Amino acid sequence: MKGTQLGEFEELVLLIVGVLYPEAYGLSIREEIINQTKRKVAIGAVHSALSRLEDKGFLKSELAEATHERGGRRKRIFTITAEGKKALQKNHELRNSLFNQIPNMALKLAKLV
Amino acid sequence: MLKSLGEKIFRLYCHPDFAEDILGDLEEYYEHNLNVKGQAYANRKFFIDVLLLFRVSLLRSNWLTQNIIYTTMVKNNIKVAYRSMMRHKFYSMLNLLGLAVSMAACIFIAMYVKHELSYDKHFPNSERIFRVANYLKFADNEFNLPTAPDPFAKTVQEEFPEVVRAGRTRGNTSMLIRVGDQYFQQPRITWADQEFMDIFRFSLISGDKAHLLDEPNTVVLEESTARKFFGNEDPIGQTIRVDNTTDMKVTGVIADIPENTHFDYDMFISMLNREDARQNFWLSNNFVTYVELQNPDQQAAFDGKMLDFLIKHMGQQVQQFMGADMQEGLDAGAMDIRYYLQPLKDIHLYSSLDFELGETGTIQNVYFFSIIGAFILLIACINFMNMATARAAIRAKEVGVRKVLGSMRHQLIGQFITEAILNVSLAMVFGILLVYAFLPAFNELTEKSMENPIFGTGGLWPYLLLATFVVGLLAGSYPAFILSSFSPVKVLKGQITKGKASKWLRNTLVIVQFAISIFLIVGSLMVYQQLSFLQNKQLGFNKDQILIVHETQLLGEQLNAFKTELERNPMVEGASVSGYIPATDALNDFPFLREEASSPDEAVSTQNWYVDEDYARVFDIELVAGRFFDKDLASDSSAVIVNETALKRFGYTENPIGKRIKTLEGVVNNRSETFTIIGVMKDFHFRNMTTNITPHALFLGKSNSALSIRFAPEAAAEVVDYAQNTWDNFAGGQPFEYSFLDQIFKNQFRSQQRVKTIFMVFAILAITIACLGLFGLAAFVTEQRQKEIGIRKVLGASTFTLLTLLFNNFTWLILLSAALAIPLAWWYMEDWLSAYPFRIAIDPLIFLAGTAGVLIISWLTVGYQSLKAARRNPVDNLRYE
Repeated sequence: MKGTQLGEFEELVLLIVGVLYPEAYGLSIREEIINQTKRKVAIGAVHSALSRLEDKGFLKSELAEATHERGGRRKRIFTITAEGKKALQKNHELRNSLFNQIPNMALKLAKLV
Repeated sequence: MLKSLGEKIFRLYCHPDFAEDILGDLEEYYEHNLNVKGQAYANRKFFIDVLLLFRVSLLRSNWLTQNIIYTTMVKNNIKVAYRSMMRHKFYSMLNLLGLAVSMAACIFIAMYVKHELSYDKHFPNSERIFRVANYLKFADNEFNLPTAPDPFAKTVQEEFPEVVRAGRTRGNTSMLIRVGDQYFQQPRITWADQEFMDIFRFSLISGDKAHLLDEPNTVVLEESTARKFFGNEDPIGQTIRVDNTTDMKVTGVIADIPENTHFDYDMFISMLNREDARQNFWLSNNFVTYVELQNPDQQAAFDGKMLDFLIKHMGQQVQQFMGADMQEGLDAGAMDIRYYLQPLKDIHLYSSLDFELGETGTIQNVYFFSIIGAFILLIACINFMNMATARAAIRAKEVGVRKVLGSMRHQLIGQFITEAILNVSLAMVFGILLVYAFLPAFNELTEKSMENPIFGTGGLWPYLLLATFVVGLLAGSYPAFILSSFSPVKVLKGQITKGKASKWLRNTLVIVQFAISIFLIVGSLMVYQQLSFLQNKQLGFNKDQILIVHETQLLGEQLNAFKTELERNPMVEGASVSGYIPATDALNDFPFLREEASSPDEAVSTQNWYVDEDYARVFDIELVAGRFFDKDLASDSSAVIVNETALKRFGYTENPIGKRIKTLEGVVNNRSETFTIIGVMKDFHFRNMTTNITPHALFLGKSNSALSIRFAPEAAAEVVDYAQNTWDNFAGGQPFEYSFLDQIFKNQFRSQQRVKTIFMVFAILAITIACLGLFGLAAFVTEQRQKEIGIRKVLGASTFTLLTLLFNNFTWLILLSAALAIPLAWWYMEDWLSAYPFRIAIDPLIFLAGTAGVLIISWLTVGYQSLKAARRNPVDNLRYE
């Protein structure tokens, strides 16, 4: 099916959602990304990625209980679905397998450059 | 403030499902920033984040998101259209073919019209450039000329502040050019002012634009001419020898002047080389004069000031040469002198003066072809609609099922229109292929040279794209509305009578198609008749077996020896030296008066030709009285031979021989030159067949630019060889230029030939497309009446009876369209013919022949289908269920 590839940023967001379980929501995900990767990320970028991941079926979300913070607005808590987990695993295995296929020589040369 | 505004904006575009939690995130982030960095930063950050949140995946549902559904629907429509096309391959092919052919025809017409409308608009400031034209009348002579007197340009530039500059050209001639030791016979040479170059600002390839023609003996060449002369050398500063007399320096090379220009010159010589360009003579009009105004609105003001201007400058010379007071003459109506400006961009389509610089078009032609193009497209659209409604029965069930399954009416309309647009797009692709295939033929017919008219620069493709949609909508809308209006219950019960509801409409459409076809066929027949009438009419001289050798002035004193040498050949029946050759537009107009006349009002504008004593014999000109020139009689130098028309105008009806005529110049003080009439020639068409014969006079005199040879039948090749060898002996390397008079004569009919071809092509197109439609329709109707035919046959009807039955309907329709087309064709052709002084009378037989022709063609078209049905075994006809 078209559109179920994981983009680099999408993969990052998906991983962070896993890391933050069970407290992953928009702003916490953004903060975690900034802390872990030192990348500048806009709130919009995170939400748009979350919405795409949900469309693809890698994430599911539900609204948490309302609190007095945030002007009384509820948080949307994201969790990884089985599909999402499979996609992450596939990516992980692919990278490992590719990395292992690189001959040692190449890595040594890369250091020299 | 900024925060609440941001929140509003956000709510405006964000999908409501996401609004709450994202706003929550924003709020939380805002509070965090408020504590850490202060309110201003927090506010700003909030607002910026709102803007950055504008992302497709977070938007409200909109056209972008709905688009997904829409394209699947279109995809489905296209699929259905394709299937329905494939199911009825034969009908679809007919439809497509008709549409493609008519699209191609329309594209050609659009190309032609676009080209006609583009004339002269490519010059920078073209809207500020004007040409001076005039209307002159004295006594019975009238002139409409695109020219002005030699001082006109200079004087308006000096006296009128709104005139930025004014410049002139004169002549368009062919001369012998020597470059190094090579000779070129160079056509399209003109003389021009430096100001002419400044006005038109031709794109200069090399040279100094301010000093192109501002010195004598300078020339400017078109790029292709320069390349012809000098190859790859730099032409600037090079010397060429013109007419074997004058050395001239090349001072500039301009890019080739585009084809859509009202003049066509390859080479410009400085006007300073012409004595007659500065003689300050206001009474002759020989200079094409262009004026550049400061702004185009000043045209009317300029024209308004003309009369006073003319009286001021021209009046004195009118007094001096014609012995009349100009103001009085104008007031009394004895003369009329008007000069006015023509906008440059209107010259090609709106100006038709005497002696235009080249063939002009007419706006009427542009309208006429646009209408024909529209008609042809209309015919094809009609075919399309016809076939679609005729096949309604087949689609009716589909419509019924679709409706039952929940299709909305607008969805069905969308479906049928998609189908139409798909068909039209396919036809357009085929049409464009056809256009490129027939482009060479088109260029030959229209004498244009278009290379890539559709996808080239300024190509037609955007219009074609638009046309595809418009035609698709037009052709698709009627069937779409009809088909989508079917009530599903009736359709599925089989209650829709097969397409009968729209029978009257189909009939009307057929009538319109055939009316157009008959109009075009009758028109082309009549153009053909008129043309052959003109070509076969007695000219009054013999144009056959005459060879003309040009540029004989180059032989100088040796010309007579050359002539004598030629006459020695037994194949040569006669030779005559004269540059005035019938049918070549060699014109030399001067007024003459009867001897007793005392006032210039009696002047008769006369063509004056200078010929030698062998002229009448070579051209077979018949004398009705008197004799031709005799070289042994010295008195013949003041003798004249006039034609019958001139005689009538002079009033010498009885005993004309020995009467005298005199020149206009000097009438006032009795110092006119007089000539004695020694012969009267029968009127002959000395100019061309499409104008009236005007007064014409022959004088014995020097005109040595051509030599005409009458040769024995079948000896053309031999005589050309002989003449060329003799020429080479005398001329020492200068090129031998010759032509045949009958060929020149034939070329005169180019424009009529063209009208004929165009009419014929369109007539064939129209009838083909109409027949394609008829063929499809006949096939369909016959199929519908299958059962009826079977039953009739069983009951004893003969094949002939059945054929009559099937033909009957079509025959009536075609007779009706003939009744519609004939008066229209009569009116239009009468109008067309009225432009010719010598014309055929409209022959009613032509209408009969046209109608009969169309009937026969349509019977043949319908016949195949009908005969097949009528001869089929009735069992097959009845057993199809």
